[in-house]
Amino acid sequence: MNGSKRVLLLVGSPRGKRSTSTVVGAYLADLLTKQGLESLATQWIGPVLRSQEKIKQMLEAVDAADIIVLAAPLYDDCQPYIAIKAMELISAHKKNLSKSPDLNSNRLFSVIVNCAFPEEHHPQTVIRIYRKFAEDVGFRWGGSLAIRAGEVLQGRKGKTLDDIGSMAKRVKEALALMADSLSKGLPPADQTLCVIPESFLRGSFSFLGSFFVWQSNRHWASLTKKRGKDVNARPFV
Amino acid sequence: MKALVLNGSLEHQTHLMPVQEILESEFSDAGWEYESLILHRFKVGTCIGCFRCWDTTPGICFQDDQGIEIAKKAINCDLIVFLTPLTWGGYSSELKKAIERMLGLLHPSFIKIEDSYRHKKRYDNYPSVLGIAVAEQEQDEVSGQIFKTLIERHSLNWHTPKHRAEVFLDKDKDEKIRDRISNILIEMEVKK
Repeated sequence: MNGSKRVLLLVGSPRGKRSTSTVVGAYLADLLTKQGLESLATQWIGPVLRSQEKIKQMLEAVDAADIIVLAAPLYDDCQPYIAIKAMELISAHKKNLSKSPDLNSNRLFSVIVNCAFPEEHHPQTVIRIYRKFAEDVGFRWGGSLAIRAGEVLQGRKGKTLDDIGSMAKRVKEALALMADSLSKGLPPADQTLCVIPESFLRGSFSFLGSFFVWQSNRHWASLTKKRGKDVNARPFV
Repeated sequence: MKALVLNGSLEHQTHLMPVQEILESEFSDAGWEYESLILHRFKVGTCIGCFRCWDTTPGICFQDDQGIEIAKKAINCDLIVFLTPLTWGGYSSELKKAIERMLGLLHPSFIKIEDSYRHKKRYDNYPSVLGIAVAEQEQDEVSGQIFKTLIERHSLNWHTPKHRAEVFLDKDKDEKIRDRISNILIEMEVKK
């Protein structure tokens, strides 16, 4: 029965194919195809925006999909520019199609947010924005997964969730829950998880969190120094 | 004192202009210098998330376009106004494109402030932020609340001394907008 349902993955990471958004979104799309859904060609929004023809194809794919999954990082507590641009284009396109308003009523719109910060409050605002968008254009809210401390997944270094081992375990479990609901045409619950243990943020193991931060800060300083630059430069003063 | 208005209207939109003009007149009355940039008229490339503004050319994006000029103006003003069409409670694409090119204004290292990690300051001082969104039609309460939360979150990330957010409707009368903006600027100590 699922064979007739089509899933479209939109990737809103400016890093494109080599991004955690791609890795996580593709994992979900793969789970859905294993459950009998048809996967439409993934649309990487960055390259799509460079050509009117590709924009047209993306909008056609949105019209053809039963489930749209948008996977994007969190930039400045909201969507990256390219994701906003795609949302504006989809909204304008849907308004042009408003003569047939029932067309979209059953289409699910799900989001995956990859957030570098570990705290729970960071991705909350963007989830509300995505939800408003879904309501406005006539999509059914298809749930969300907010991944915190997502930098640990190392998608930009070309790692897959399987490469990461146990660090990706909870992400995979959350995606499996999402896939299970979506494949039945049901909106999954909104989920949020932190890739690193919460105990690293507060409580008796918080020194490990501080250690990660110290290591990361040291990494930036040494990388910049290797390139002959000063990480503390103030070019605009 | 200097104010920078970043007008994030999309190419076909004109409904932010009355608000921009009111802001300019209020800044002028307060004796502030100001500059307004209608962003879609500028050549600003897309942030590609490469982090070169952190690890290769610290503080400056590698893309040599007007995005750099805008970032430079942003860090050298006392108040920055994010003027945007209300876009599901968030920023328009044009405004966000310019904001993303300001990543290098922050330091790549993290610092913990009040139980929350943030990027460290690169500069000693950051501008105060006034977020103004204009809705083309009657919006529900939720979108306005989302916008106010977004400005609050963004201001924390930017270590801004003060921040305020306001949402207007396209149909609001100029007098109402002027009164509200005037009061906000008094609250932010731009005006006395």
